[in-house]
Amino acid sequence: MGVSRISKHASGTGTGTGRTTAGGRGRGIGSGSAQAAGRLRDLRGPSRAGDHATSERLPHTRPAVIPEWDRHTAPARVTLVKQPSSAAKRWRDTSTGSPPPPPGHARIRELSAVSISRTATKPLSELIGVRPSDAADETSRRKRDRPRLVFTVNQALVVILLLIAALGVSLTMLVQQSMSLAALSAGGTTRIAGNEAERDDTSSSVTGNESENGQNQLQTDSSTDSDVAEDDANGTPAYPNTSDKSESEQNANATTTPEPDDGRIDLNTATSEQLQTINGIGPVTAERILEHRKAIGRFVSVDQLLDVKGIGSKTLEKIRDQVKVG
Amino acid sequence: MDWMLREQGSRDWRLLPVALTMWAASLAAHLVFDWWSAAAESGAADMVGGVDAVGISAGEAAVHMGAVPVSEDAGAVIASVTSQVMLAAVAVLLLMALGIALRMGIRWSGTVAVCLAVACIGGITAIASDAAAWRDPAAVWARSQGSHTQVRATVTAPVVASDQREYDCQADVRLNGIIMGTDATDGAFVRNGAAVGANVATYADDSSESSETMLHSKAKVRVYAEERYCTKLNRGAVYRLTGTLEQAEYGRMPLWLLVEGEEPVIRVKGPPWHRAVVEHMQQSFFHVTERLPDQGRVLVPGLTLGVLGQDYVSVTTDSTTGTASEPAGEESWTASVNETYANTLEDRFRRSGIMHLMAVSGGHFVLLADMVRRLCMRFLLGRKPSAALIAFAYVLLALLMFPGDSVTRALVMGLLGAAAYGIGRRTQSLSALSWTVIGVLIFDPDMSQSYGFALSSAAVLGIVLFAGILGRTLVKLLPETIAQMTAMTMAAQMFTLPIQILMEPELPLLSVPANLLVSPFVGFATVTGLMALACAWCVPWLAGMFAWIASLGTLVMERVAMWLGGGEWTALPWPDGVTGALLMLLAECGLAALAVLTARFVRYRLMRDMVLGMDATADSEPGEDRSPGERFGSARRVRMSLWWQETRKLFLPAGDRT
Repeated sequence: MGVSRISKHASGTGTGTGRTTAGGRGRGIGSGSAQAAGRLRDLRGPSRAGDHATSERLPHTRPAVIPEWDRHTAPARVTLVKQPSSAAKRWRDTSTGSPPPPPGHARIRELSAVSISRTATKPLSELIGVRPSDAADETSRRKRDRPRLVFTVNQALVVILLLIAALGVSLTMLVQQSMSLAALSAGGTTRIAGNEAERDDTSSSVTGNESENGQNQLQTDSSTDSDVAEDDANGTPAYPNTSDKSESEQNANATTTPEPDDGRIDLNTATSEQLQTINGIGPVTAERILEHRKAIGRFVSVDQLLDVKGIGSKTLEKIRDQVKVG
Repeated sequence: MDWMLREQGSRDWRLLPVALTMWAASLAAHLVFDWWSAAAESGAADMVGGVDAVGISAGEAAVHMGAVPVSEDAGAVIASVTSQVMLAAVAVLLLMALGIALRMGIRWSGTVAVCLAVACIGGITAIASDAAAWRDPAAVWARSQGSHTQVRATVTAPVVASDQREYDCQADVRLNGIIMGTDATDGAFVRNGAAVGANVATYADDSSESSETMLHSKAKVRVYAEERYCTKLNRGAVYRLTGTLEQAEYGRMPLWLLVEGEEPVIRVKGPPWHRAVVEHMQQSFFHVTERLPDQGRVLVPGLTLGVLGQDYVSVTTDSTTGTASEPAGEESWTASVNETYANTLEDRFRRSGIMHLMAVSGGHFVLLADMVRRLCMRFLLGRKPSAALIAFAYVLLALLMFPGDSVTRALVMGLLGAAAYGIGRRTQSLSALSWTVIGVLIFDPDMSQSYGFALSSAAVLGIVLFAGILGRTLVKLLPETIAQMTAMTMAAQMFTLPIQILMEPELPLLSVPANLLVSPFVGFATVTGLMALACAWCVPWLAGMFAWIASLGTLVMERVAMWLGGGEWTALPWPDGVTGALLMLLAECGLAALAVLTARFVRYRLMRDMVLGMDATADSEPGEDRSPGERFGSARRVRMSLWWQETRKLFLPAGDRT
């Protein structure tokens, strides 16, 4: 962040001084730049003490555009070598002296001086040449050896935003799961077919079922247990089935018969001969059905017949009303 | 300021404190929730007046959980309100202080801000997931009525040998729901006798819709079953299971289902095709490894898949008849590895400190990624397609392995690395690890309590932080390859030792030599094991050859483990628990400080000698404490030659001095 501030600032001052000619205007800008340089120094912390004094004394100087890695080596101000031709559009003159101009430099400058526009374009000749600062001095090319440990403001903000987005996604998934559970559980009660008539009075007439709940509860049967089970059913609407369960159990007790007499063949108890009486199932298919039944344990729904080799959807539709799963 | 000038963008450690804070916050939140839920349960027990713990109902707990203060005491209400207001005020003040610090440019304020945010996020996600699991109907059921239940569940992890004595195998499942309205659920499941043929409890059922209700649930349950039911549990398939659902006494799964009854395992839906394919491949691989010698049978699957040979339970894949599968099942069971030998081997591995080889870690993934990347470079593929291929290979490998938390860590970190490679950035291991930890803990907060994940991450952290430095120091003392391997071992052990002490309070003293002896063989054994896995389903004889080569590598491991793990001095008893872990960290810091001081002292003495020696010849000032540069030549060679000269001078003084 500091680097960007310096460069923005410096580019402002750089273009300002770039336009100066030698003379008072330069001095005016120079002093303005001195203030700027002073502000820069304040931002970056204490530096050499002598710089403040020198800044006022040296004319025709401009603040050094100091890249951060060179802060300790380059002085705060740079002495420009006065050139006969005016437009001193130097770019980032950070050395202790200006670079030695290559031969023919003056001619190039004359030729190009005409076409150089106001916005500082820098001829390539400025970039060539060996500078004293290129010497193999340890301090001029600082080694980077420390890991990066510090967040700047913008980086911190970006990371926090990313994390909040991730948190949102995670919580949404979690809430969706719980909501779907609650919705399905509440809707699941409506799937009870037939027998349970008093199911819809769950919330209102639980007191009536209290004694039955108490009797039909499982191991730890105690009246207090059924009381709090009732509280449970009242307080948390996600579990309406705890009281339904006992009702369904009673009804199952009352109406339970292994084989309702509608003439359909029970897939789980049929023998091969019984299966072969079905129109559309032959001996081979009957054997396959029996094998499949052994493999999976028992049939849960008639649609599992689709898993049997030899029975496709058409066959299934044909025989659906002749079989059932019981 | 100087630090900022010397910052290196290629070592980005900014997220390390953030990841550590997140983990700590997640753990703390889990602890707080456990404490609170225990208090809620015990509070409910007290209020119901002496009913034993099994009979604690969900209702009371629900009331407590509603977070509505039911206390009648006005003082308590005022106190709670005041404390909430104070907490809010403190939070606001903290945020203001943070904002001011950020504006003022105090250096650490950015990191502190992110750490605070991440702590809140870690706490929120942990408590949310814990609360959701606690309120799950199955958990409520298990707490209130822990009894005979019929559930519908999907198997999420392959069947392995059980850690309980009474049952033969275990599998992790995720419930779809508890089936109500059946006799099984009502506890008297043999009421409708009618045991006809392949019998089961009957219930009034229509052909097209089931009239039973299912209490939907998403709980994670560990199923314990006997051997004849184990073989039916395919991963990814949906089953209807009957048994006792209760709260877990130990382990990471919150609930247990102890399968019992008649016909307790009924398959409702088959596994998806990719799971079935993977299971078939794994089964063929185990058929191949069964022909290896004992150590190969135990260790080659461990090295390749992450499950030791004796822990594997082979399941029958689809559509074999029931009668035919049982004799085969019995065969594979009776021909299994000698249990004593297998247990001894596992124990010796643990004591000698090379047990980490038997868990799938990043090593597998790195090997595979390397091969894929070289292949892509050979065919001059661009960066993006090659990164996509690497990611695909990672996912494939993760599917083939037995699931585990270290696999998750390696997969996510590998995918991040592949993504970085794809967009052309250099991989930063520590940054990738931190993002892995943060991401995984946000989406699955239970992982903060997982030892596998912690060990895996700690090993990577140690390697990233210390392997370079240790390597540079050890290279001056040892030959290069040995120095690098030792450095990697020591660096990985730095942070895993305290975690291992939490699991088992003893310190493996010989782990560094054991790892050194074993590490040349790990690479090729892993690669050949993976190749055996890849071709076992189609070319068993080739897979047999690969497996045999892998078993040669594991033979070395077995010998090393038996030798080094068998002595009395291999494991040092250590205080257990958190104190032991902290003590271990302190001991490591002490040793590191000792090593650093010794190095400095040695360097000081050497410099002094060198300067004194140079004094006669050079113009340099004496007392220059640090001359730049490194010592020339192999230190060993220099030392040996100096020693030789000194010895000659010692024994032949007259000859030298003439």
